[in-house]
Amino acid sequence: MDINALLLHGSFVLYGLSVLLYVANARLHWPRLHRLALGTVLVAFGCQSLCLGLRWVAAGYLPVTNLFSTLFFFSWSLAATYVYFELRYRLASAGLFVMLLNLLLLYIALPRDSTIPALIPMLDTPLFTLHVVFSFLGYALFAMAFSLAVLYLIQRKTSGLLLPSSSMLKQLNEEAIFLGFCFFTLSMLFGSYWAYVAWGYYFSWNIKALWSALIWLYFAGMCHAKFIRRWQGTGYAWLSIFGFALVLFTYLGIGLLMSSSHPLA
Amino acid sequence: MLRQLWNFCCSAKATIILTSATTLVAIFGSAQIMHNPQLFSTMDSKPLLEWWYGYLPQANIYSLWIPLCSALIVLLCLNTLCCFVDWICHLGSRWRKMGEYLIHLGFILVVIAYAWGSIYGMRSSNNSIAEGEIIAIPSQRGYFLRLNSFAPQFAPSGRPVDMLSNVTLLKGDQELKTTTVCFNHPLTHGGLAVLPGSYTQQAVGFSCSVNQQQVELKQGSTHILPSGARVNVLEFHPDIQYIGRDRGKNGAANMPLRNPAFLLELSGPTKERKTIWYVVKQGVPQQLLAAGFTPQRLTPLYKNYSQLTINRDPGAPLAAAGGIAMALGVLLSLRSFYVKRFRNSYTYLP
Repeated sequence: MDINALLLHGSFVLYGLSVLLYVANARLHWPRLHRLALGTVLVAFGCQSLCLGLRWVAAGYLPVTNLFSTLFFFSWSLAATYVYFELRYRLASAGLFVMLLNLLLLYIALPRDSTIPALIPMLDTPLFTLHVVFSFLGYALFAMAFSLAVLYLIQRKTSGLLLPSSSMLKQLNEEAIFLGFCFFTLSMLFGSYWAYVAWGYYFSWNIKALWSALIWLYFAGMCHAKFIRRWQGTGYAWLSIFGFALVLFTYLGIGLLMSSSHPLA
Repeated sequence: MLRQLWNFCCSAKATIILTSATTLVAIFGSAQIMHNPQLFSTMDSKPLLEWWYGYLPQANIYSLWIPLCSALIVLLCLNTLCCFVDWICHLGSRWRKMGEYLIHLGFILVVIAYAWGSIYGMRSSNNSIAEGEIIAIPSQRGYFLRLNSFAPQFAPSGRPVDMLSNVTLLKGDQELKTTTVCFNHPLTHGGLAVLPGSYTQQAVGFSCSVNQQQVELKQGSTHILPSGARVNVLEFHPDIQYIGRDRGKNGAANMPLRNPAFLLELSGPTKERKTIWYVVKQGVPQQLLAAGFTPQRLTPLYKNYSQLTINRDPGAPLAAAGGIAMALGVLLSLRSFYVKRFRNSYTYLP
């Protein structure tokens, strides 16, 4: 087994372990378990980052050109987003949800071919790298917002003691949406510029580009909705959940189920 | 009353209504794109308005999403413009929101630019051009494009991976810009973009052995025979059935080699001239054989043609300005967000 496969499977096992630790923490309410779970996530994230770095060096470009590598990069972005929120706000059991999602992404990625394909000249541009990086960071933040929204709804229903307060979850959800929108905007800008230099037009009517524009509009609307009283709280949480469904459909639904000139991200 | 109307035009509620409506209409539209790929797959081949005019005869009620979506985007743009104007009017107290409003401005500019390009733009693909040739740029009176050199790049499998075309943009006789276009490196000038598309090969004649001498029979070539007679190649046609129709778009050729034929001029030592058709599959005509013209081991000669895409989008510079405004807006918004967060820093410890 080469070093990349070792790091990849190692990070999968460690993320799995962190999920078990978060579950144990949810039942036992033991602060040490939370710290252990966070430590496990950090080690797993380190392994995953090292694996990504080694693949990047080996390929000579950021390897995000097939489904395995985009799933892997999505998982890495989600872990990075989670680490940011966890270190900044100490989300505790809220991590369970995100780590489960992350584990699912890696589980789908692992059986797929991890060979790095040769880069075709069309993708040989920094605009491609910037477009993909910001796109997945945006997706990861929308996934984070989804997790926080679900937790917010759970908190409102059950008043779970182990969860952060509902006002905290609401604020973090808004932050995730705002940051996701910012990154996704940058992704759209770099993607549009790349489309212009590659095809001669900056907006294509292919299904993927249309849905990306649609996601951008949707989250632009959400950035306004937080200022409207009736959409704050529960309404905003449901909007975040629906928004993530749109993101998932755009990323996986269109990529896997439909033919598009833009099938990877 | 007017004040209330203005407040509604500037309101976040109007934005939410419009973004929601646009999202729903676009979802419906994407379903139409999926179910009618033969119709909607051509949308990128022309500017939106030109495509819509061409599409109108086949349009049905399900295609109304395009004008409806466009109308909603225009309304959203107006709503954004009202917000932006309102912000400008209160700049003194709201300057900290500059990032967010730069995003608004960028969106307005991009929508105007796209509308401009959709109405007055031009898209033309598969413009075939051979080395040394000059073609007129479609819908751009007085502008020409010259292909100085062309080198297709191939993968080890033989698949073409890139097309390097060194081109010069001309306005009349004046050279405006020379560059090598390849994937991700177009020639741009104003709103004009010249991009590599594909490449094609065209048979231009045959290489053969005539009287144990290797010669190239192609338009313009001349061959002196041992008898003193001279053979001039006046024309070459890859398929004699399609004489006059073998010149494709913009003077480029794209005719397969089916029934090739030469129009030759035979001039004898006495300066008498005869034009003779030499259809390769039918063999050499008797008059040419008598003059000693006996071509053998014919191998086709091919010429590479670069197929370029030429688009003109007069809104592109404005869209670029909008994009820059948006990117700046995002960076400023992020900065002001974190400044606010650091001022009211909080952490949750379970």
